[in-house]
Amino acid sequence: MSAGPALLEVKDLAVSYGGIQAVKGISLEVRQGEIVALVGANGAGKSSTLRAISGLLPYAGEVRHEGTLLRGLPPHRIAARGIAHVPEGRGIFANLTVAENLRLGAWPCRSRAAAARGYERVFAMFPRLKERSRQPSGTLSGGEQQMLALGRALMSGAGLLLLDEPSMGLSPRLVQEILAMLADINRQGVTILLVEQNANMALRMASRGYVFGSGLLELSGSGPELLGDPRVRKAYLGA
Amino acid sequence: MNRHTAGALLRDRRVLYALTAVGFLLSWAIPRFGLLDSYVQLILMYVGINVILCLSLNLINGYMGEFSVGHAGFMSAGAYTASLLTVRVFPHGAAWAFPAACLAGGCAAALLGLLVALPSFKTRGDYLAIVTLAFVFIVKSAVENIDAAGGPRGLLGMDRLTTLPWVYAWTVGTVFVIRNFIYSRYGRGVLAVREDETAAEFMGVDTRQVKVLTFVVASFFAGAAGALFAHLLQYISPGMFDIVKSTDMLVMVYLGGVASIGGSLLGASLYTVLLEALRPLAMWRMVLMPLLLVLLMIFRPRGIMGLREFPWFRRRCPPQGGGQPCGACGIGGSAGADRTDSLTVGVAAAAQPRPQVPLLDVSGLSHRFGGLAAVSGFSLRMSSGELVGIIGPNGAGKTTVFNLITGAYRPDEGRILFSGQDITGLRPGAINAAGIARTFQNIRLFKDLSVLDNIMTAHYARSSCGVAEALTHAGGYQAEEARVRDHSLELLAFFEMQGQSAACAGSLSYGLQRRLEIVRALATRPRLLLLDEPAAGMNPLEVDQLMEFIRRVRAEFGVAVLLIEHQMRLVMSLCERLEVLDFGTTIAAGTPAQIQSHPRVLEAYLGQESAS
Repeated sequence: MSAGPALLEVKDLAVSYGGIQAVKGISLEVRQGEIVALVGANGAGKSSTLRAISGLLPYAGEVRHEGTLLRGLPPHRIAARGIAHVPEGRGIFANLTVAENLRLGAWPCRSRAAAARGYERVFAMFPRLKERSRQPSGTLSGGEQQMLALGRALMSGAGLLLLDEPSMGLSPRLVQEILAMLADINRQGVTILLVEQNANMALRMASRGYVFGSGLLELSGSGPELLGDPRVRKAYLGA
Repeated sequence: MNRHTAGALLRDRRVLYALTAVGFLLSWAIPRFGLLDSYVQLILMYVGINVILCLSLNLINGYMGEFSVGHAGFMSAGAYTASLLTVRVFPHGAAWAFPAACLAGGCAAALLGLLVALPSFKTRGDYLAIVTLAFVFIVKSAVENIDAAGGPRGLLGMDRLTTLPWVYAWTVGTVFVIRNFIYSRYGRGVLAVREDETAAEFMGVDTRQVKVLTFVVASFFAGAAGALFAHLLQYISPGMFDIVKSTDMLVMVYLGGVASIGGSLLGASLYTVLLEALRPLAMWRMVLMPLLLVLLMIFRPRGIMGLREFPWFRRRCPPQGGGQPCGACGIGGSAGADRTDSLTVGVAAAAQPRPQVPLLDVSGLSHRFGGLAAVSGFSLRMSSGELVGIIGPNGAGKTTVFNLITGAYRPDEGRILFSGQDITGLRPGAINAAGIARTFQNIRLFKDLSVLDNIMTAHYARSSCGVAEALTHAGGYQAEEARVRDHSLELLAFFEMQGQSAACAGSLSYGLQRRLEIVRALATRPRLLLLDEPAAGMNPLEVDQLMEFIRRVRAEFGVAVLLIEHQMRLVMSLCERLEVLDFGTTIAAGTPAQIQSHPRVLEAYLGQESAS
């Protein structure tokens, strides 16, 4: 996990819903090949930050991907640049089958071979999805839907994954497996920006982390630094 | 007059009453002394009739969130029934003949409404639009084939019995009754159906009753409006009440604003007056009006007053509490009440333990989706006040077990006894009434309703207010409403949420939404509470608070708790007993300590290390 040039650069980002400011001017960067974790309490603005980066929310400030300003680009153009977002709440297409959901994830791929490689990779990761590939995805259990959302994002062959609570609703064993897989994907060169409630777990695997507190950055540093910081322990890691 | 006094006047109900009285006087004086020319009087009467139509359609399409296009058919039924009565039955009727004919027209339409509603609301989805569309055509061709009603030529011979005072009286009456209906327990049911029908059912709202009743009430007023219309025009024909007429009403509803009385008043008036004003433009009108609508949909998709309300028509309430006020319903909560004593007593009475019979006795439960066995041969016994956890890999069938117990699915095999009573295959509402309440994996609050209304809606099944009381707000209505409101506020105060009572449920923080969902379930006074992943998406600190919360719920309300959770810290320190599910069957059961070292559980579920 070498620290390369900044792949994603966020500067003075501010997001508001109606009159309420959810993100109040934060700056962060994600370098090529890193895993960066965003941790903090619910409602601190982590998901809003991801949604702004993907172009799903209007914002003030700057977001640059490989040096290009993303502001004003529609979400599908941002996805086509190789930024895949796994949203909170999964957002699967409930009436389509598992296989069809994955196929749509490969939308940005131009070649059929790339899509086929994607299937292979996803099914190797989640054998359960292969078993259920012809089932309408709305009939999957909550945890299986989470797997599908993650698998669908991987189909695009994106270079940057934005993950919003990938461990939500998954069994402890599966959480460990997914962490191992994410580390594996990361070694293959995919950069990951991760929002996670399980701060302990997220900071352990992350190269760097940012701690959010009501729309502002409270702390930042390497994973181990933050894990050891008494303020983080007290506020987010529990006793 | 400055803004402040204007606002105060808008809020003062007495001003509304005074204006209504003045309006009535005017409606009598205008035709009596010829204060306005007869053309303007005619327009005013059309405005009144359209307000009645628009408001009643808004009840179905706006408040309840269904989509009906059948109003022309109901209007037609009312118009023909009333006209036949005044022309054929009481040709030189007494003074009471006309109002009686209007009522009869309304009743005929209501009866037809019942016939349409009963089959349509058996299923969910978009059937209502198709059924009501067909209904309009059926009514039209039926009337065309009845010679006694003039057939396709239409019906003549009505006296001009519709006068300005009558239209005014009917309009005021419609606003009064529909407003009462909306702010009754049925009205809360209507909004709950719009927000989340499934959740409403699980909270004890008889959604079918609510939907059929709403449809019948709306049809009645459409029929009455038809009667007024027929005796104003003195001629009706089947072709007048076609789908275009329904479309006109839809336009008024969406122009004025969905789920708003003020919106319907505004929409109907604007549309009627505008159509008249643009009459000189002849065909260009047909270009201009749609264009206007397209622009409206782009800039104000919910209509001019969508989901908002004039202060006069809002619910009467004490000063608002804190939090972001809920504009959608215009209903505020009062400041917190410090009366928790009666609350726990009331609930404890409902939670009488029965020593011999187990509280929950599930045996041999099986359920298949297509060929896939989601649950097979699942059994579980729980006694009163126990705290049991269900864990297991994803897709093991845990939530399916919850859905079977709460009546979302009917089990293929097996039996569910709840304190001795067989509840297998009952509807969710009946199971809730028996004493089982639940929360959902993906929070299912009524997001656009206030926190207080979320809780009050959950009192639906335990409130005895009847339809007549709901429509008139007379009889025991006020006392009943106050009781439900007080109990809801006490519950909120008990969990330190009274400050948020006026806030929109959707505007709460994630943790508070999870908490509110549990409080809403408690409001149905259960003896067994099912929690589906209550800690999902919570950080460790919030999980600590949640554990404290669940302990408190159990101690104070004496409920048994069955929970599904992946958060091991919570499961291991909170639950007395665990069931481990895999492939729809129990693979292990025991105390947390036994489970933690169980080899099959480690292999299938926990993995090599138990997560933090």
